[in-house]
Amino acid sequence: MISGHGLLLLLASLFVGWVTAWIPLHGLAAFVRPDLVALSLIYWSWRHPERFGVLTAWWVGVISDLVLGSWLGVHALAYALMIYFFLNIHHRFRIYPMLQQSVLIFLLVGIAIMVIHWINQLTGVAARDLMFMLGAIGSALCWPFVRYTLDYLGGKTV
Amino acid sequence: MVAVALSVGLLLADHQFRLLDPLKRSLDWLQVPIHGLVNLPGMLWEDVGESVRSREALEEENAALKARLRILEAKTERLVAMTAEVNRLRELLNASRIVENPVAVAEIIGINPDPYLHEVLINKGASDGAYEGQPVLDSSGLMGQITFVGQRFSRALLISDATHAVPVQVNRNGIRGVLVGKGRLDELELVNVPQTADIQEGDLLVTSGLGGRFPAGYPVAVVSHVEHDPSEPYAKVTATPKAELNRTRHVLLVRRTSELPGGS
Repeated sequence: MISGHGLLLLLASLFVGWVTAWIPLHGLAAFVRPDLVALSLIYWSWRHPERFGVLTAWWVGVISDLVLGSWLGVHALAYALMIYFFLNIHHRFRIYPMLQQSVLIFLLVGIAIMVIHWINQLTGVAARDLMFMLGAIGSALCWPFVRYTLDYLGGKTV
Repeated sequence: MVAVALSVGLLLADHQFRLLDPLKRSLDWLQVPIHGLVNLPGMLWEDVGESVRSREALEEENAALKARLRILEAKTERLVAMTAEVNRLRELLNASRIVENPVAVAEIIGINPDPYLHEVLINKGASDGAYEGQPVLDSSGLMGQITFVGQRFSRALLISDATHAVPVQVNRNGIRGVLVGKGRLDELELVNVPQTADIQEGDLLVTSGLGGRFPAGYPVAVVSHVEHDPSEPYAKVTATPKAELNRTRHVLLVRRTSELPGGS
């Protein structure tokens, strides 16, 4: 079972993610905004793949949908798929250097963003360009920061 | 696979059948800590700004506000008399009376992070009497309408959103049209305007009250550009919103009145 400290850290990392999602930004910054919720999900299933998996991601996605006001299930599906793909490669991810990890993060968050975009298209809100993919770049750039912060706060042993 | 099936199930239940609205409404409190924290720096900044201002500056502002209030009060008095007269004249024409729309003040506490969606979060919900379709104004014009009501919060779609349209008429001559958003904060488009319609740059567009959602007579936008291309069936008319869609913090919610406001 997860310890009290670990649970606190997990919840704090997700909470910070949701707060960052709502910080008002405009122009280019609104597009580059990193998805810290996705990054913490990847972090936790990277450090503890036996505890946090697809279902955790799904639940977190449902809460994300409630918090962001999107249709219920959009982020749930995107995060669940993202973590599913991640768990398939997490052994390789473990031995990669930081740069390669960031590239993989770009792809994983990119997949999540694409899924969100497809569902938005089906439900009526279509993007006019590919600017929304910049979010994956923002997330990839933030990965080293997220990883070191959570490691420093004791995310390795929970 | 289970997760995918669950997500698709949720999506269908929510988007297609709208079964989950009560659940979403009751889980509204999830927003409280997040928006509390997001808005904390801004509020602290405001507080600090308020407390370090000098007494003279405050007195000066107070005097200016009092003067402005007096002018507005005088104008309102005239408006009351004029409304009464208009209503007397409308009675002669057997038209329905113009009613005053009471308003409630609310605050914008969040802007939807999706850059393609022009939606704001407002700190009034079902417990404050907000309702779906309620018009949202700022001090200079129409901003949008409420699309989802939670217990304490509601979400409002702005008139500039690509999925929003509002029935308007030209204030000068009463030509009617539909003003749609283009996904840009500073530009709206008046659609299906005949080439021969008398619309000029600078014309004020006000809500027409058709459709019954927005009360008539609120300013919406000013025509910024009219293009007559003979090869096109319709004139291309663009307009700039009157409301400061990206700057306003305080908004007005128009309360429901028993009779359809302003319609005749």
